[in-house]
Amino acid sequence: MRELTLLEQIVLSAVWSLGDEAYGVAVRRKLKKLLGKNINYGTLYNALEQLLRKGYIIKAPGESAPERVGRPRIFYRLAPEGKEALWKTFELQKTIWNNLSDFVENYKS
Amino acid sequence: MSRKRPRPPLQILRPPRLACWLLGRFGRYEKEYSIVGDCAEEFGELARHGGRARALFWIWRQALSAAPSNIALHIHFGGAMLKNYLIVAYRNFMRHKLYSFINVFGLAIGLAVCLLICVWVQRELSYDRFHEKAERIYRIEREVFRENLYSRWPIVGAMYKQALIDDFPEIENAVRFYRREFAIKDSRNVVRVQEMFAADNSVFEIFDFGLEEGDPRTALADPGTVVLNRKTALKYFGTGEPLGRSLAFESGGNWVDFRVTGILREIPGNSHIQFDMLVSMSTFPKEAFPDWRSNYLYTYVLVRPGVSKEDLEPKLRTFVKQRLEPHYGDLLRQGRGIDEVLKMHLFPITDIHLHPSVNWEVEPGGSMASVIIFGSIAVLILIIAGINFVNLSTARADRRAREVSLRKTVGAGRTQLRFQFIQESVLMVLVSLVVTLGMASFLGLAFNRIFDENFSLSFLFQLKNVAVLLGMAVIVGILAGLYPAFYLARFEPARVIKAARSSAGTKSLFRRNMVVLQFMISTVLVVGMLAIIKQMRYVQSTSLGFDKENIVVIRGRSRQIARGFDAFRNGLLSSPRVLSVAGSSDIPGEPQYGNGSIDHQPSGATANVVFFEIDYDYLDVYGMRILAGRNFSRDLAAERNGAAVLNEAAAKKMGWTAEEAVGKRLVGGFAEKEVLVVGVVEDFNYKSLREEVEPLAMMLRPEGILTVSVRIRPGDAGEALKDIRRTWERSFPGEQFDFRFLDDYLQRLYERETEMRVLFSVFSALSILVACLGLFGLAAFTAEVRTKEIGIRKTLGATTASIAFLLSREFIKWILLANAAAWPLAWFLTGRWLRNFAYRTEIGWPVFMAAGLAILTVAVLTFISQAIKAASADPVKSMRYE
Repeated sequence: MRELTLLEQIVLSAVWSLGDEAYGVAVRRKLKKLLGKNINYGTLYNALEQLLRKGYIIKAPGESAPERVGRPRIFYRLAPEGKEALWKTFELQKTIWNNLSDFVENYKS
Repeated sequence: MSRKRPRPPLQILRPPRLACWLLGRFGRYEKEYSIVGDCAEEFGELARHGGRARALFWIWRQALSAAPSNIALHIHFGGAMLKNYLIVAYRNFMRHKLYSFINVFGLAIGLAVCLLICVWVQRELSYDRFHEKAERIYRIEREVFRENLYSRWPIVGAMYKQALIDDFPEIENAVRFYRREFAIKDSRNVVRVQEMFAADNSVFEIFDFGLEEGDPRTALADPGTVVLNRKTALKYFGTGEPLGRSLAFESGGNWVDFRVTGILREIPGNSHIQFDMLVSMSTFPKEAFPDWRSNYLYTYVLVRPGVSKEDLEPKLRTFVKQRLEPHYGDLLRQGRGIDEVLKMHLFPITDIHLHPSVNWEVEPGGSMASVIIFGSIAVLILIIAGINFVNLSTARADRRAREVSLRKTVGAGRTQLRFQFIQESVLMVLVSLVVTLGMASFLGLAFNRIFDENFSLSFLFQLKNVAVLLGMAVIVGILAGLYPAFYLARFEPARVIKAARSSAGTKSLFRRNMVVLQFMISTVLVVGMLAIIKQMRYVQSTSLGFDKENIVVIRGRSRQIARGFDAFRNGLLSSPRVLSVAGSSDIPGEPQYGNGSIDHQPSGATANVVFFEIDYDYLDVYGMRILAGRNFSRDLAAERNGAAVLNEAAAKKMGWTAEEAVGKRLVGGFAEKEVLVVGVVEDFNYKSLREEVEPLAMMLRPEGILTVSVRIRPGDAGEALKDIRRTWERSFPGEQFDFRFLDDYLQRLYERETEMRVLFSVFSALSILVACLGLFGLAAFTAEVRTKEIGIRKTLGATTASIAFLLSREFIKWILLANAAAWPLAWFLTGRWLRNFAYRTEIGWPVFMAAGLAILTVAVLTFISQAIKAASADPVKSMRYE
């Protein structure tokens, strides 16, 4: 598996969780909820581009809408490799935190 | 696109267009991810919930925050490519030295000519703009329309100034200039005649001439005050401080002291009025200008801010009606209103230089037509040079075809390629510009020579001019590079790589047309040059109706001449080198002062004529041909009371033949007394050949003599002049000996044409040179491309001559075509120019043939060497070529 940056991991998870509704605006909003801060579109697209290149997500242009000054929505879906990668990420994270259970339990106290 | 959609029911808040555009700039983000759409959607939501201001803030931040990195990326990759382009351009330049040289040298000449002419044009247009109030300063001028004589008078009477100020609140101030000559004695008692103007003190309030020292408010207020520039001060006072000292002026035979009250600043060369010295106008009492109709002062008015020429000029009619009409009764004789015969104008001073009056102008001045003609020539020569670049680039295109193909294969777009080639041509022009500037010192010399100007090169290197030059170079580069760029960027990689050699080189209609255009321009210029030369030769050789050779004319300044004329004449005639002597008011070639009407009472016949006042010998000295009647006779005392000789045109105007005119009694002339027509002379050109011969009446009136004409024995002009000068100084002490040879003097009428002839010769030669450079390049190229073909032909038995002809045939055809295309245009243009002359030569087919032949010869000489070189090459080597 190719390494994913943290942002890519989060974007990947956001796209998965949005299901059929994952397009630019929605993904950004989701990220805001997850991270608690605004992400620029430039940053978002860069992450999406990396994921696309690695073949983890698939892009599909949708219909254009008047509130989008005639531009189409671009929808993203997880590719099977993407699901795989997301799972691997989860396992990696789990391993990391399991190894650090001491830290997790003692941090607050 | 989005505007065409039907409006949705829900009100949609649109983001600003500019922000959308900026977002859309980010190349693939828009294409791949629809950034504009995302942002617009979010903008709409934000606007609905958080307010429009917040939404605007947000979208602008999106648009702008991404900009810097995007720009940086562009520059980074652009810079890398630019470096590559520069390297490739440099290699190409060095590899094809001949073509590079032709391009650079041709463009350098084109730019040089352009530069030269631009500097000149800029200067012509800059006249009198250095005055701070230039836009509000006008010269008072009049136009007088008689039925067949129109005249423009830039001078008016002395009383106009105050009357204008009194009558028109729009006029803020006015100044008069009165051209004077004084004999001045300097500190070492050397007497010099000094030209100067008398001027009102307001000269310093209206114009920016200004004083280096002295008080401009009072310098010329009192009588007997004088201001002068440093150079003149040096002449009269040496190195001493001139301010406050006095100069002795000759006035009516006495020496009067004038006080120096100021030092004039140097007058810029682009002022239409130039002077070294001014005396106060108040020196001349009012009584010196008693008459409204005496005209000798240039009068300039300063109008108040906001007053336009269009507003004020119509009001001058009342001035004409009230102030002038009473004095112009004679003009109204045919029942015409004063408005029809006399008009007053406000002439903007910034227009004076390019639209000078034919008569009585302060300085000779320039012409708008010259500015236009030479401006066009500059552009045309630049076009010729640009065409060289276009032709050589496209001809050698297949040399670049592989580069283009490779670039395309690795992903270069057409736009990118076009940019590369345009950039290359701009570079070429910039290199030429450096060469041009290198030529600058030579150019400056040529410039001063041709235009008789004083230009320092520093003018060229002023920041503004450098910027203009660079701008010009870039524009020329882009224009010249446009076609090659589009042409080269069109190559299809697959085809180029498959075909070992594209056929781009040899035949191209476009290239042929371009060469034809080049030689067309050259031909037009050459025909123009020949036309000017031919007309000037015509002007010199045509019979003017009098013998202009071996006549010395001396212009007097005072009535003293008329009084002492007989003694002077007798003294002169004793010299063996002098054949005859005559006195007159006017001489041919000078602006004529007097005109008016003559009437024949019984029949009512009338004509407006120019008047000369002449003596008994005038017709003799000038060798005029008497058609009917006779010359004046000293033996007939009655003639002293009124006799005239008419020219043929005047007789015709009166409705008579020459024979009928003789013996008629006319009323007219200055004295309004009866005069008897004693003879009629053949028309002679007393004005330049541009103008028709106007009706002329020559009155016998020795009191009017102001100018002396002396016919000398041919071959010994120097000695004759000495005799004349000696007699002159004895007869008229104190009078300046201001002599000229009449033929020189007449030649001066054509100064502009003489200058034009020089320039046309230079420019047509340069245009041919540049065009031939290009032709040479093309010939060399053609010979190179056809090396193999020539080898085969030779092997099969073709002679060197037949091959040379084969190679040249095409070019000869082109040049003949260019000639055919140029002739009608040249014919039209030279015809237009020749129409300036009432008496003109014919530009017939020999002129066109000569021009064509000359160009063809030069062109053949240009490419024949290449053709022969190619044709005489060893066929074995040729076959091995490639």
